[in-house]
Amino acid sequence: MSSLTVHALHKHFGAFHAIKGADLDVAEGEFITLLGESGCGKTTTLRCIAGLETPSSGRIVIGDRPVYDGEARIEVQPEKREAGMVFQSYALWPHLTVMETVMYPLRRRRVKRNEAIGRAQDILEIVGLAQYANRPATSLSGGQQQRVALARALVMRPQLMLYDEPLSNLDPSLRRQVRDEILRLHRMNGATSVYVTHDLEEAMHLSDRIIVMQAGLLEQSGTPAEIFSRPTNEFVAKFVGFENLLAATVTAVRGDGIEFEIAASGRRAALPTTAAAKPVAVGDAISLAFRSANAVVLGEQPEPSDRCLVFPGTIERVDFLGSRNEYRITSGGAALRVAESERSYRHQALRREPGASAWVEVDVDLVSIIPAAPAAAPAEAEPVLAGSPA
Amino acid sequence: MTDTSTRAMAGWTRPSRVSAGWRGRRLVGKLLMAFTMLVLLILFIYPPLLMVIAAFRQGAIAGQGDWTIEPFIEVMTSPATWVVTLNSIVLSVAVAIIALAIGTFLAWVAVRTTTPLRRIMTPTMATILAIPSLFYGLGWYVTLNGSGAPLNILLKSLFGITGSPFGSGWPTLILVVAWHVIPVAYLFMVGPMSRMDAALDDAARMSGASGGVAFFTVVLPLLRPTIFGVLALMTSYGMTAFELPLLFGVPSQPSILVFSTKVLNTYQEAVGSQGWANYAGAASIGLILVLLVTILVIARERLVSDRRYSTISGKGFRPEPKHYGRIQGLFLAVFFLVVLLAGVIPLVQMVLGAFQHVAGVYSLGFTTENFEKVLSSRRTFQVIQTSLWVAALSGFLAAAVALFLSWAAQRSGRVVRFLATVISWAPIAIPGVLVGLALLTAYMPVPGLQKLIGTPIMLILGFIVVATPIATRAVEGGVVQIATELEESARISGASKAATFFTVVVPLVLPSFFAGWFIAAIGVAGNLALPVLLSSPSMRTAAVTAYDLYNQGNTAQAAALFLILLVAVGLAGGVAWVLFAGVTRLLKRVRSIRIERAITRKGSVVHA
Repeated sequence: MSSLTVHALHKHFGAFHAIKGADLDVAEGEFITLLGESGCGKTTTLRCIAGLETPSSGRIVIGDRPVYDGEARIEVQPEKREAGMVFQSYALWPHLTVMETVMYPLRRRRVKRNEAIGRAQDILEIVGLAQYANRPATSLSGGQQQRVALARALVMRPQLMLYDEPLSNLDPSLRRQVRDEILRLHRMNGATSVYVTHDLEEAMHLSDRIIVMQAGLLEQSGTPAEIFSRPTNEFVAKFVGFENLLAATVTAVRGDGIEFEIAASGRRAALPTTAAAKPVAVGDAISLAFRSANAVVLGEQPEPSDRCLVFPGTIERVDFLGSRNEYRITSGGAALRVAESERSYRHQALRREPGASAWVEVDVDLVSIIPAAPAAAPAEAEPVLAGSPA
Repeated sequence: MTDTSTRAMAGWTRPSRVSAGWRGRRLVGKLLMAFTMLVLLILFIYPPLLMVIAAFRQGAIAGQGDWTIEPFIEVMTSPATWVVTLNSIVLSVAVAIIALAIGTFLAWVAVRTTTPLRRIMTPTMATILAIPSLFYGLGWYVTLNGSGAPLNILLKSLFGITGSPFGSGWPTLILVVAWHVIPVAYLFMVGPMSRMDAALDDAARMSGASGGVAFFTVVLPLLRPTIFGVLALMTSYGMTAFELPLLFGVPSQPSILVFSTKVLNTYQEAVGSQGWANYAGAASIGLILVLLVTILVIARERLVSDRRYSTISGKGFRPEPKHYGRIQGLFLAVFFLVVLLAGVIPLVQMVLGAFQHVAGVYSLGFTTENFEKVLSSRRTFQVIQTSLWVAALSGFLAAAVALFLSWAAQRSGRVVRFLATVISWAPIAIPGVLVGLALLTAYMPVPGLQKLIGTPIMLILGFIVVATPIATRAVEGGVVQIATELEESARISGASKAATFFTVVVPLVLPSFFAGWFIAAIGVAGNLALPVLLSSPSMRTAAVTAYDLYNQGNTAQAAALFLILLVAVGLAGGVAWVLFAGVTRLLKRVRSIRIERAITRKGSVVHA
């Protein structure tokens, strides 16, 4: 097993700056996920690590061996990097059987035929495909094909495993199954792993650590729980499902709390300092972020409490979606989204119609304080440092 | 710890001045690639370049003698040159439009409709493609010419028309060439047509377009780059056509000359007091053609590289053929008509002709004496043998060059891609007659290479050049289909670039490679244009011999010889195919038996 270090990685495709200085430290045996929308540079980063793409500059070290160094002019070919990779399209060779496919990496590294067969058979048993050994690899079902691809990647016991959206081509029902398989094999084999996906749930389930990427930048790094509950910027917040982002300005910072004025309504309120992922100072522009499912709609003004934030407003729209009601409520100049569970709408008496007054209540520990996004993004932002283990 | 030792621990090495891409094995790889490209450039580009030079020199040997601009000026100021240019353009454009329209339509019928027999359309067209153009041309020639020809007898009995009204001339020339090219157009269109997502068509129907309107507003525009590409290809084919204009243009009154026939005529003119062959004049005419085809190829590259249309191949969909009702009977009739005109009539005519006293004349009855005469000649076996091995070898080499070029064009940087495109297209710009001329020009002045002239090696070198574009069109489709990930996963699995090429690319591309080989070999076996200048009396090909027989009025014997050649090619191809399939199957079986044995052995150890 070995660690992986990526330092100041840049990649240009002509005029397009695909990776804008990625820094990444993956500990031995760690499973990290690069999470982001399509085109954010996550796959390019992975392909640079694999050696399938030549970076424009930077440095990549696997274990203690530099495999790419722009300054020292080192570039190790992909076949010499001892990594395993699983491709989105499976990338199985149509002219080979399952057994021959899994033997391929062994034979290329001059493992004797009989030993190669033995090792290939072992790994096929582990992924549960031993009985298909003599079938053409591409004749199997999607899930089975991806397990063949997993077996091929793992048969060399690579020090580094790379996954390029391995589940995207699978039916939703199979995704869960192959995901469990990936996790099981990772625990068994323990290789340092880098996984690329745009699916939040996949990332949460599999990763020790998640790195969110946007437009070639690493935006935030943290455990799945941290990323889910304490995003450090608006992009990550939106990506992990914070529908409500309310602009506010910090008016005071005390030992135990942060006071602020909400821009839309001019009202003042306070949250504990733990709500902020990063320290804030007086005068800072911030966003108050919370998920629609974590807010409650009330028909009457609740008792004031420092355990809750309350936003008075008017119902603008109600959408009945079966398992829940979705509200759009205007509070001052801001539009809030609130989801009301079936349990709540069955039990609570409330005038659920446009124009009715309503109060939105959120527990303070479910609200995050996020630095507000700058009005216009600077053309060439400084490399964002993320990815050091928390 | 000092700074250096920390760096050493972190794997720091002294920066090399040379970047990683230009050192070690990658440098070796680059040098190999450069060397291969150089060899190909010399083979493909050097002769035409010398031909350009030869346009301005006059002497006993092509490309030698005094520098002069006279022949060039003479050619450029001669009205005959521009008549030839106009003829070539009219012929090639008319042929391209007819062939493309019918070919595209039939391709659509084959993959998007439920017309009966649609599954056999592609194999049928491919088979027709295998008929050499000289054979096809002679077949039509005897059908249309002479008082005993079937068409003329029919015309005489029905309308009292005598002579051979359709024996030659513009309509005959255009139609005969067009019918011959329809299968090519079909085969180029059927692939893109079947990869186009049927949902795009359906969306047009749901937006209020009728079936016909949807075809013209969605299907055709989506295929526009392909259509223009094939149109350019067809046009250049028409420009360089040789055998058919020789049969149906030259005998016409007045003669219809196109570039390649004019080049041959000019070459055979004697100039100067010594009666030198007119290399300079022939080369000058060639220059106009090279210019025209270059423009076409550039236009084609521009159009085909339009990225917006690359999405027509959707993922994981099947084109659903639709039922169009009774009109499908008409579709089928068009298909039968094409098969009849492009294949059956000339083929049957030649087969019958081979058994007639005078080819095409039915009243004299049938005989086997043509075969007896042809087979009793010792020369026949030699000629067939030469044709077979020259065709097989140059077909193989052309397919190998095509495979390498298409792969290099797909996977390499801009420079290699550009060179590969130039090499694979350059020969199209030059008709076979000119390739022969260019090779003569290129090799005559070089002492060592001079000896090659008139030998099979020279002929093979020429045929590689002539056949590579044809083979490339067959092979590149197979190469393009290999997804990049298949090679990338091999690299990740520890295979070097070369190992990847031989363990992944070659096995996957093998079917296309064989198709390319076969098509190229057929083209070579029936090619007359190149050996007309390059073969020596001691080393003739079957095509040249057949053409000589035809010139002597012995078309029946020419037919017999051609028939023997076709049967020989078919047999050789068939035997080779069966052998290859057998060996592959055997190897596969051996591999799986070895694996099974090893598994049982291991199993018994575990259970022991």
